[in-house]
Amino acid sequence: MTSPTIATHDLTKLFGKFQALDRLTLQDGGGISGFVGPNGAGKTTTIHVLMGFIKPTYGKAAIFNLDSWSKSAQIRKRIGFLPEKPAYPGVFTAKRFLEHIAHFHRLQEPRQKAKKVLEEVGLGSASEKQIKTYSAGMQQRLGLAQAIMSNPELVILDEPTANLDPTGRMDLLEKIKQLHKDKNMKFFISTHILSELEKVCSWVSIINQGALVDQGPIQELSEKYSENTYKITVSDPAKLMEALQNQPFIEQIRQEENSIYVRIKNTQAFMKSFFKTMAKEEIEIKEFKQTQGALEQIYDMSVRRKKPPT
Amino acid sequence: MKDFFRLVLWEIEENWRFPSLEIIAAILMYFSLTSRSFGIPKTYNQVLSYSVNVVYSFWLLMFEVVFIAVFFSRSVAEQIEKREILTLFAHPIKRTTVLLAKFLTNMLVILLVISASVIIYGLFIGLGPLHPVHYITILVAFLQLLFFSAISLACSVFSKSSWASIIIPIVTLFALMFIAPQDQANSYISPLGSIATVYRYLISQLIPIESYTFGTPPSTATFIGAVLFPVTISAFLLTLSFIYFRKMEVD
Repeated sequence: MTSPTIATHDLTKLFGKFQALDRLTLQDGGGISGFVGPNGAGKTTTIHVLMGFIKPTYGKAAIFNLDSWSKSAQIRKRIGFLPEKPAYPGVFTAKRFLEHIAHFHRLQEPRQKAKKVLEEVGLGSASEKQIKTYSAGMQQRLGLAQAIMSNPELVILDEPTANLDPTGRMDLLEKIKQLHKDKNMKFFISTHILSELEKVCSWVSIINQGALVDQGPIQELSEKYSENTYKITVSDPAKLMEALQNQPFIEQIRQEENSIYVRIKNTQAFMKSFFKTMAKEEIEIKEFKQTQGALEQIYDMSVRRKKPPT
Repeated sequence: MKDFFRLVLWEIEENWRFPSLEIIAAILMYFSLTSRSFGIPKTYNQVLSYSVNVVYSFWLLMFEVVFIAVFFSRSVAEQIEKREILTLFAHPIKRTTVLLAKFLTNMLVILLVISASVIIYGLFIGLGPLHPVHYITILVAFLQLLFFSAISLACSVFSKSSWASIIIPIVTLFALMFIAPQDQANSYISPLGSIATVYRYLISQLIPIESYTFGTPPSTATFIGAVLFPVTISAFLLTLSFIYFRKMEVD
């Protein structure tokens, strides 16, 4: 793993009596990192602290080892940011808006730069239209354009796929992968839609109720959380579900099409009882294997536990 | 400096592309001036006495304050309220430059609207386009504008609410007039009084005029007091607003 670009330590934020962040200590993976958590978990607050929009009540937040609050001006020269709900001046055309942004970043040939980046995000044909005529998805693309146009070292994206259709989401993720590969841009992506993140991220930090639940390379977390999880494909999954449902050694059980996923507490007791049950109920086993946990599973298990596993 | 001019351009393009509100403001201000006129003035002194409408017109002041409040509310408070300001805060621009550009652009646009109304009114009553009365009037209007722009900016920045930042400056206007209802023309605290004092002093210094038109001209000390009152209050409010905006939390 490369050294982290983003790091927080004991980060706490109070809004009056409401505690939005609770001693949050996290870091990114240095490449493309995911930042996941349920709605209201504190993702946007964390990002706003990192961007220097709000001041931490306690603790530290830093990007490139620079304090997010006091060195915000230096940080903003080196990063791009896409907010959760982008709000851009509606009367501007996208091209004009990006020309202004290019000037703020002291970019050479702002017009050409604006045109090029709009084509990159698929808005080339709409570059002369006023932003207020854009759909939510187009505004999201424009948000990405203004975030990447200065070729920043790090791009922070807050719910970037929120307003995009499935094709738009795929395109965006491909774009992120490509930018990382071609320009070595680092990404920190906040989302609650995990299936997409899994395709691009190498690192994930999971947050719930303002506190870190777990973080690490996806592969490691996957192994950690799949330790006691089995995928069982059988001839009659409903019957097996019924038979296993209330067994004391089962921690969690769920069905996906013809397969059943079981997370167990006691391997010995499970093995002993499981095969007996199969024989008794005359259920045919088609597949029986230990799983590599998908991000969705990792998230589900870690957030459900709330506290990081020891 | 580059960022400042770029932000001024941004502000003009964003808010003044179709200036319907400004055209309405100019028309209302013009009619608020002509409402006190009766017929075409015949003598030079009559001409000058009509020009006093500019500084004594309550409605002109009222419209001015309302439009200042609306413009600052739209440009500052609403942008904070709707988090549009984050678009600028996310890029390498100093917050103080953002606020300065917003403040000066809005104030100067309103000054242009007032100046246009005043000059058209002056031409209508027979003053030539280069008559010093116009420029004294515009200078005096600038002082008044600075005072209410500073109040409006402070309201927008501190309240972060588009409604509060419209209502508070209007209430302030009435409060100031209520505090100094007596002898408004000589009161520093009254917006009309302060502006009238400055106007009468400058007129008496620059234009020979018979005493009955404006009464006894104010002393230099009174004049300085009348200038310092809005300037000091404005400087204080602007300093507070800029300090707060620099470290303001937007979430």
